[in-house]
Parts: sequence; C-alpha cells; structure tokens
Amino acid sequence: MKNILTYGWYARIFIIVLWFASLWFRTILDFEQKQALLVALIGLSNLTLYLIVAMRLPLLTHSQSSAVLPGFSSQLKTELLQILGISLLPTLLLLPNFWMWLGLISIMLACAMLMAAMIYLPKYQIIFFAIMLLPISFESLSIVVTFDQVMSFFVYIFPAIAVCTWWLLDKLVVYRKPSKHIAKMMLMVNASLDRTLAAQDHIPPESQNIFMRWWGNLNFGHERKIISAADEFQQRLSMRKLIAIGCHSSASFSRYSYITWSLATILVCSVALTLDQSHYAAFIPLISIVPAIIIGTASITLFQMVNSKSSYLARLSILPRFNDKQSFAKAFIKYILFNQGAIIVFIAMLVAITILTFEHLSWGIYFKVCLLAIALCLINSALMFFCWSNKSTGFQKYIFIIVFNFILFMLLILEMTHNGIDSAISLSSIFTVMLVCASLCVYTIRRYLHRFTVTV
Amino acid sequence: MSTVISIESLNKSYDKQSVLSGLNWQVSQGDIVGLLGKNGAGKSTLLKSLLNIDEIDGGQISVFDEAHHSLSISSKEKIGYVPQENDEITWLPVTDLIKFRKQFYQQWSDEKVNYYLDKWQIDTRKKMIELSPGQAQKVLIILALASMPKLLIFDEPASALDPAGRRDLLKELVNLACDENITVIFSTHITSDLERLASKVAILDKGKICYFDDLDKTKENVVQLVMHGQQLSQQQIPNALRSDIKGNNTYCVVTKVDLIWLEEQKQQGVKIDIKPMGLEDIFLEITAS
Repeated sequence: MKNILTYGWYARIFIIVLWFASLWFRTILDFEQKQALLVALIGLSNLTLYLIVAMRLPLLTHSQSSAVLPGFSSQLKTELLQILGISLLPTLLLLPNFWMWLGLISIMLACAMLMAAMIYLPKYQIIFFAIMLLPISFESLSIVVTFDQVMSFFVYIFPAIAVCTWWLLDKLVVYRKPSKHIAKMMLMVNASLDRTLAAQDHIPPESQNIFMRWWGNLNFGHERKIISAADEFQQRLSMRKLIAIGCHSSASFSRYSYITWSLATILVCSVALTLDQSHYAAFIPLISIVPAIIIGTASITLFQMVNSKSSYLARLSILPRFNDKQSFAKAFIKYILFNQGAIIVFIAMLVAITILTFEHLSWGIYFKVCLLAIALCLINSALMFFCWSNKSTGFQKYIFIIVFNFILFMLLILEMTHNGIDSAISLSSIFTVMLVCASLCVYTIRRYLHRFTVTV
Repeated sequence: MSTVISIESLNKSYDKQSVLSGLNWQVSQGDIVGLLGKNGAGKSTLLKSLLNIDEIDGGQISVFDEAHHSLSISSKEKIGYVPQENDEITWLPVTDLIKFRKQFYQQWSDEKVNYYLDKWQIDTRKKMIELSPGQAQKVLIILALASMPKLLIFDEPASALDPAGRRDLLKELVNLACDENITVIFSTHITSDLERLASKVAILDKGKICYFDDLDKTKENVVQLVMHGQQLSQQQIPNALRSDIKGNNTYCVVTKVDLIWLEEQKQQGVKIDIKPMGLEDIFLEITAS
C-alpha cells in the first residue's frame, strides 16, 4: 500500500532531497538564524508528500477490492499513520525549540487533513485559496502577524488538530462518496501513475474537469489555428512546425503557457510594488525557484512527449514531405533546440523583470544564472539526443539524470540568490562548463544525425 | 505484372530475439494480399520494416524498384499505410487532422476525403479522442486513401470495426483495388475477411513467408485426403503437410494433390476421398506443420 500511496520516484527523490537539505542546514548553519528556513524546507517536502498521498488515496479507498478484502480499512489506516509518522521525523531537527516543533507538527497535520479534504471534496479547495490570500489580507488590513505568533497559535490548537486528524483518518479509510468526482480523480491519478505525462492526453474529455477542458482547448487552439490558416491560404508549414504539432500535448509548454507565466510574473511584481520593501524577502524563494522549475520540467516534459510519440514520429518520417530520414532528423533537431532556446530566452526575460522589481540579484549574478541555465539545457539536450541515437527504450535512466541535473541547478540557484556566491563561481569556470556541455550537445547531435545516414 | 515489393533475406530481431529471418517475398502490382500469421508472428514488424518505419538488421527491400530506405518523394506519394494502433494526435478534431496530414502530401483528394466522411458518417468536429475505436480507425483509413495511393498497406484494418463496418470497408477496398488497379497488403487473423477480399494469401510463420499463392488456388489445392483401409506415413504421400492414422484409415493434408500418385492409388484399389478445407483450417495446418 505504501508503494501505491507514495508512487513516483521524482516526488520521492524531491522529498528526500529536501529532508537531507534540512539536515544539512541544521548541521552547518547557525540554528537560531535558520529556524524559518528549516520550517520552510520541511514544510515544503511534507506538503508535497501529503499532496501525493492524498491524490493516490482514492485508488485504494475506492477500489473494488477495498470492499471485499478483510481488514482493508484497518491496514490502510496503519499505513497512513506510518507515512504520517515518517513525515514528522524531520521536524525533530527543530528541537530543542520544543514550541516550534509542536507548532510545525500541528501545521503539518492540518495540511494533511486539508489535502485529503480537497481531493475528496473539491469545495474545500476554497480553504486553500483563502489561506493563500491571508498574508495579503493581513497586509491590506495592517494586521501584523509574526512568525512566532503563528507558531504559538498552532501549538495551542494542537490537541484539537490531533483529535480531528484521528477522526478524519477513521472516516477516510471507509469513505466511498462521491463516486463521480472520485472516478474522475482516479482516472487522472492513473494517468499520472503512467511513466509518461503524455498519458494525460488520453483522458476522455468527459472525464476531464472544466479547468482541464478549458486549458486543453486554449492550449491546442493555437496549433489548430495554424493548421487551418495554412490550409486556407494553401501555405506549407515548415517541417519543424509539423513535428512540433505532432509532438504537442497537454503538458507541452505552449503559447498560452508563456502568456500565463508572463501574467503571473507581472501580477507578482505588481503586488510587490504595492508592498513595503521589507516584505520582499517572502517573495525571493518563489521568484528564484519557479524559473528553475520551469526550465527543468520543460526538458523532462519535452523528452517524455517525444518518447511517447516515437512510433507516430516514425510514421510521419516516411511521409512524402520529408525527402529522406535525414531531412526529418534535421527538422527534429531544430524543433528540440528551438523549444529549449525559446524557454531559456523567455525565462531570462521573466527573471530580468523580477530583478528590476525586487533587486534581489545583481546583474552579474543574473548573467551567470543565465549561462548556467543554458548549460543545463545543453546537457539535457545532449542526454536526449544520446538516448535517441542509441535507440534506447530505457528512458527512465535518462530522465533520472535530467531530474538530478535539475535538482542540482535548483540548489545552485537557491544558493546564489540567498548567499550571493558570486565570487565562488567565476565566469571562466562557467564558460568552461558551457563549452563542455555545448561540445557534448554537438557530439550527440552529430551521432543522432549519423544514425539516419546509415542504411542497411 | 510488375513487381511492387521485393524482399530478399530480410532479418529483423528485437532484443536479440529473431522475429524475421531470411524472409523472401515478392508482391506484384494489382495483388490483394492477405497476410496471415499467429499472434507475435511478426506481421506488423514485416509491414513496418518494408515501409522503413522499423529499421531492419539485414537483407534488401525494394518498393517500386527503389530501396525502401531511400524512396523518392514520388514513390512515397504512392503509399498509403494504416497502422494497427491509433496513435494519431488525440486533441485534433478530425477536420484539422485531415488538414494537418494534407501538409505532408503533394497530391491529395479532398473529394475522396469528403466522400468517405459522408459515407461513414464521421462527425468532423469531434476530436480523435472523442471518436469510438471503429470511427477512429475509419479516419485512419480515410487518411491513407486521401493521397490516392498505388500501394495500400493495412495492419489489421478491420480489428476495431463492427461486422457491418468491416464488410463495408472490405467492399470498398475491393472496389478500389479493381477500379484503380492498386496493390493492397493487409495483415489479419480473421480468415473470413481475407476470403472476402484477398486475391492472394501469404502465411507468415517462424520468421518466413512459408506459404504464398492465389487464394482460389490455395482453396483448390490444399485439401484433406482420406485414404480408406490404408496406413501410410507422411513421407509416402506427395506434398503432405501432416498425416494421421486413425484405425485403418489415413487422414492427410496436402498442399497439392499429385494426380499421378492419386491415379496409381486408385488403380491399386485404394478408395480416396478428397475433402476441401476452409481457409482457417488451411492456415492452422500450414502453421502447425
């Protein structure tokens, strides 16, 4: 059961890395100064864990076997308690500050309850949004709430939360309603349990929620317009564009993804401009990590999309539009490099806007971060082309390396923004890394092209 | 008749497991070939290999007298392929998918597309994911037919269709093949479909085309002989695939009756019954032997 509840290696690795990062911070940094950072790291890792478990839980509570297997509910409760217990172990790092430790446990239990409630009954999602808006509400009402006050509040209500959690667990393991919503949820979870994000494209529209349908139509609308316009004006789309349409999926970084992220950045910056600069510290982790996440996940998504479409792409490659397989390969290489390049340029622009607003980075560090991001994309592209030129079907090991690169990059970015290790990484060493990554990328592209020139 | 497809010593393996080994095959223009084979025999692999969708390990394949891996655009224009599984873009409505596919061809018949869309009553506003498996397969078939191919390759074309849809499709293919003299190769394990449509039957077994002949000739030649009061071994009967002795009688399946041998047996007073066989039984006998 634990395997199902915590399914997914990326999430597991992400959580464990955050736990180890907490341990690392606890041992090397001054405890008094880093308490808030520890709470943030442990909180983020555990929230991820609870979200995953809450999403997987309907697979067990609503499975047909749950009704017939003896002792299913009690076993499920034991497993959930064990996961909860394990997740609370990292909170021990907060000791000897007993007050903060108890407060964090209380928050974690409340979050676990909220996650489960949100998955089973969507109306409770309103609580999540209400909590998200609380800081802004306090700010606008000029209510000053300190970190210690929040922790104290949760310590005092800890007994009530503990009792509620126990009661909710009892109820959850035998919960069977509402079947229609849960059926949709299970379909989505089953898709996410698949090894590829592309599985989400195969969820029937009637089983998608309004948001998914809306986003899907918006996301694919642009591609449809391109096809229709080309047909109407009897234009020939470029080979790269045809491959891009063939590979496009609901998880792709589309035109509307660019617009959404741009709007989100403008919104965050606009909100920040209305606040006092003393509050900017709360935004820094968000505006540092999110761009890194976009770059990392864009590579992984692209790789998975292409892998899931390999048979379809092979079929497209034999169509008359392509003179030979090499012309297809060249168009495909253009598609991959263009995709990665567009994301890098876009993220560089977003980060520049946040720097103009928050002034959290010097332009020197910004330049270095951009170069490192390019290096990350180059090495990820090299890995992808290496995998494809090997005709390897073992994609997971490559994904694992890409995820590892991504985590490394994220930690590096966090360090650079928090501690400004500008001098620690010299420009020449970054250029060396870039050169190595670019050489690897060129080598693997040539290798990939060579595969299409070799004939039997 | 000119040769459309010629395969010599084709080898293909997956993960060191041989699927096709030393396969030789020639298909002439205008042939409608039903490719029969057990599950996992390599039917899809053979079709994908000859189209260069799957790379081969060894051997030579030529399509329209050109090496399969370097087909000219004009040759590619003449090929239509319907895959076994629907891996088309799920989020595109049928109308946009057709426009998308049109981008890959120089010659494309909108009339033909509209004709079949009307005939098969396909709602073009629906996305591919919203269609039933049968309708989706019909869309794939329309995409293959729209480029007015001279060689049509179907991998299990009727597997997702209901009986009426299957009959309709097969009738359409027969008309196409007759009117436009196109070559059709389709893999199947539904022998009744093959009997309705094919002019030739090819049986793929153990990595090779172990049988390839006209369908009518096959049904005429491959028969069961019942020799009353005789116990003969397989070696004693010409062209025998398999023989069984039950009591005093010998039951034997032959690929072709040796008329001289038959006459000799009759002169010796042996009573021999010749029983025709259905295609399914023929297939089972050939692959079992």
